Amino acid sequence: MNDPSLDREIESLLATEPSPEFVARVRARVATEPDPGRWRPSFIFATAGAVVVVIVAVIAWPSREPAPAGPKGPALQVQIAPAPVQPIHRQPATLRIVAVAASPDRPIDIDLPDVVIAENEVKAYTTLVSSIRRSRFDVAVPAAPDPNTPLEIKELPAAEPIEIEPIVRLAVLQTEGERP
Amino acid sequence: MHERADRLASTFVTVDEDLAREFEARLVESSTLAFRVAFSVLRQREDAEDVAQEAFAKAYRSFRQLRDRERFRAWLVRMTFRMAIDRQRANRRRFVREQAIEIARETTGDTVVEHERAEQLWRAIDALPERLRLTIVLAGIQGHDIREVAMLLDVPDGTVKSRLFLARKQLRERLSWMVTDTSTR
Repeated sequence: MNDPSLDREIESLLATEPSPEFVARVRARVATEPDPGRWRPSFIFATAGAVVVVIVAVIAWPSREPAPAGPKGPALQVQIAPAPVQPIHRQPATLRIVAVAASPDRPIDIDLPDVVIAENEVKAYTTLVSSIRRSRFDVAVPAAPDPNTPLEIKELPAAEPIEIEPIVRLAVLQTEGERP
Repeated sequence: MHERADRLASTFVTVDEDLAREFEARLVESSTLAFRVAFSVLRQREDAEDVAQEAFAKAYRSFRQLRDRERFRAWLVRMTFRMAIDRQRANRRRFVREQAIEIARETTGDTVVEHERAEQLWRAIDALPERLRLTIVLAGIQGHDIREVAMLLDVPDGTVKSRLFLARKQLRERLSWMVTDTSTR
């Protein structure tokens, strides 16, 4: 069998016509479909849902913009004022630093970034500063040892000898029913 | 304001009318093609018409993307073939015996020998790999030349030539084997 005769056979097999009403049936079927240009309800719902999700995400997303400055209630304000600093008197044994505030009742105002320092740390720091201002305690830093001074090693006290009972005596006591 | 709205509405109506007109033209010129592609797989007129009809309905849904004539026909051929294969698999599962009866009824040869020959050829076409099968079927429909088949399959001309060569070779081998097998029975 050669190619042309094979092709002719295939053509004759496929030379079947659809029924006369086929095109009319397709037209009727297509007429039940929504217009291709018009949005279908499922698309409308899907798009509306997607838009809502985007809007909610934009609203709920935490903003990185700094909050506008305004009255925030009793904000902790620490002012670093040019306070008169007492001269530090160096002594041979200890180094004493005394910080004296101009007025203990003056509000403390430190403009600190919110993110870098935690609130409890700011509170602790301001408490420390105010305590120093009120002179509740001295901030005394021990002086560093002089490297030229020879190291002094004190003698340890003599330890008394420990008396340990022999194991045999313990075993005898246990066999007699006595606890050591 | 109202005039603008009227103009806008009339624009949409014109677009819809254009779309409907173009689709009607595609339907008229491609209905036989879709039917024959489906028939080459199913070999039953009613099933083939159903499948081709559904393929047209799908094409209508996506017609905004398929307004180009060649693109529409290529899409329609592939969709119809795929849907026909799916229908054939479902039919095989359910109506093996009924299908065999329908095949015999659909084959309108004059003699028993012609029936037998047609059945052998159909079986040989069925046994081809799908890409060879669709290529040889499209080449056998309405005298499509290689260029037209290449456009329908969206492949180069050379690919169509090599597929036709392979398909004819395999068909000849299968048919000669079938003839030998039948004559020795």
